[in-house]
Amino acid sequence: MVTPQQIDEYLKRVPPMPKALRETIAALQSGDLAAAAKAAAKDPGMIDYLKKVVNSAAYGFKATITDPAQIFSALGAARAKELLYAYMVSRIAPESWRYFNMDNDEFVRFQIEFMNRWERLIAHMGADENFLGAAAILSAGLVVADAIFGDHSSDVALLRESGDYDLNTILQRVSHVGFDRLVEEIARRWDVEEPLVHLVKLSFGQMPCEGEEERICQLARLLHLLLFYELSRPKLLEAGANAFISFNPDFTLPVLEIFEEAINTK
Amino acid sequence: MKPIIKKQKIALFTPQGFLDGENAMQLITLQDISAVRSTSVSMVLVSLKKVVFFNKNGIKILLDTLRKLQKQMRITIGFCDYTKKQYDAFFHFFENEITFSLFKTIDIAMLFAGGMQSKNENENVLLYNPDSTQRSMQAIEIYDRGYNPVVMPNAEEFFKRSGEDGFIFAVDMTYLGLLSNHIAAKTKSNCVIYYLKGFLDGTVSEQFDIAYHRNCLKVGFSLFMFDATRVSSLNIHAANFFSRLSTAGAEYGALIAIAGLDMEKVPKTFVEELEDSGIMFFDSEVDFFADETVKSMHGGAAAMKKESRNLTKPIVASLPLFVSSAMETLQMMTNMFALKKGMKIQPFTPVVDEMMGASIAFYGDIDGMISLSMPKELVKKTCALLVGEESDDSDILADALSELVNIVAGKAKTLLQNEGTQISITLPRSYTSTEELAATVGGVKGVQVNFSFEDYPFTFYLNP
Repeated sequence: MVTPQQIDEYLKRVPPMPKALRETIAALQSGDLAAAAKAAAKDPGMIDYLKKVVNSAAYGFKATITDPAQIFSALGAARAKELLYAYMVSRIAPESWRYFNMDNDEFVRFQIEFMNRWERLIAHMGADENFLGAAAILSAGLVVADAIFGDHSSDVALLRESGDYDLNTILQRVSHVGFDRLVEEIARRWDVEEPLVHLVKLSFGQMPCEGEEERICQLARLLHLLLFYELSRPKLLEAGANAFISFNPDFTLPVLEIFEEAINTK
Repeated sequence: MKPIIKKQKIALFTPQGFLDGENAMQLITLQDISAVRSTSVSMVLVSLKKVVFFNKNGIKILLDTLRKLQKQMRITIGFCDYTKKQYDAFFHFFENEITFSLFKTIDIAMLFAGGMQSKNENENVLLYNPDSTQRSMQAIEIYDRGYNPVVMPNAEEFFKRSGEDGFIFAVDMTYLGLLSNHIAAKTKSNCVIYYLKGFLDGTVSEQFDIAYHRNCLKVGFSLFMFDATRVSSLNIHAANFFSRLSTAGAEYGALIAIAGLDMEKVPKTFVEELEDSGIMFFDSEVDFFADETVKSMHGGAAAMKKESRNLTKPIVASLPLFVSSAMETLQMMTNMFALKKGMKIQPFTPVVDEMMGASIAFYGDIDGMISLSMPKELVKKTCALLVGEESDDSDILADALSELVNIVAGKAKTLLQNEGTQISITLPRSYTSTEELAATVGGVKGVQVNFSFEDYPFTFYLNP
């Protein structure tokens, strides 16, 4: 179905981070928001994406923000960086989705909701803001899954009639690699900081958390739970995105109460 | 979300994550309902093993959909694979007035659905429920399915004994709501045993799963025993039903027997009439299995006695579709390429010894059976996707091979449908040796296509 060679070829096609984006992130890391806005202005696509996101209802800014400098000062360095990762993911998203029944507008809506609630969880936990980008990076998993299984939807449908197989399980069984590794590789290609890459990898719920730093483990569990909170929404269920990876309820049990407090699911 | 059909007995939905009033409508769509309706399942269940949160609204919406199916199909509906907390939540939500069923695991549900296969003589089922009515009801239902319920008076005793060997199941945290009135069935080696109870009248034909019975005949089961130890008597309508069943089975060389019927309570003329139609009577299941005729049919593989059937033009015309379904499925599963070695119309002839096999029958616009056979090493590689890892366990591999032939037939069914040919498929059946497969397909001439998968031989066989 899917061969390791096809996966390698796909990974080779993932573009590295463009120069303007690298400069913007470097400026944000040194806390220079003005320099970041200046660097970002060189990439109109990036500015358009940021405008779309910050002016969405989820971000709740009263006035419409259009100027790059305004965008960066309104967001702050950590949130801006988070959105830049989400922008990178949106750049590798297909023009038309082939496996999942959704379009790019729906995907961006998913990204926004996902990042927004992740920000609430990070704030609730009082965690390091450098971890804000984790939801954005994790959203790349859906893009990768669509690219890999786009040509095999009928085979997957046939397999899923005979067993409870999620896409990650199928991928692991045919090619011995999971989406966690693929997303990790893409994040590394974009020079995402190591702790963030590690958190995203853990949040797939495939590896045991024991032995990890307590706080990192909690964040990974929360991110896994949040992913399925979002993937359980009607639109994403309809799109078939809920079967992207296997949900691991045991992995999330220790943080269930924290999640309910922060997101108010009751 | 498409349901998974388990052993043609249970349609199982397995949602992931959160289940609430907002998304429950999306879980079982109209398409899914019609997919379930096209089956002959006796249970439709929602598994909660991957659900971390659910609320009353979500469950109520799901139940509304399931109840429609229950009304139309007279099936059992409910939930399975839950935690203690989730089990308790059902009683809290519905204030102890639960009309659906709850099964702690899917295997326990399969026990009640009558889809378990007996592998040994030990058929004790340990059972506990704090509610004495439920305890008795579950014990009766388990007994009616041919198992021995061992009821524990309290939870302590249950947990103490549940660790012991000697029980094929330990049933607790299970609640029976309205159950389907299908006649329970189980398979034991090459024999299908049906469990009858009460006074048998014309309704027996409604309660009997004729599609399941027909499937069993088509895949080569030839021994059918009706356990009538709990039958009080029967009337002419029920007698006619058994007589018709026996006549229809004769085409396949099937033997139908009734064991444990109290002859004092049944008019002698009925018994004579049933004997004339070929039905054998035994005092008990033990006597049935000890009978020489039964033993001669039971020892080997059940053979398809359909010598009169020949390959027809429509079946041969469908061959490329069946072959490409098999090839594409195997290539998809293995990432290996197939090389066609030859094709011939002949009785099934194994290319090499020591091959495993599986077959599945189809009926509708065209009738026939497809069989796949391959060496164990290729089964391991092919089924790694289904099993999760390369396993050496023959039982696991045989199950996976059955699933593989089911996938192949499912794919062929869709392709045929696109060309206007409607077929239904039966339960798959696996064989651990080519002799067993050869005995099942008998001496009937079919189309045999031999392939090589990177030096592994693989045979596709289509017979009428």
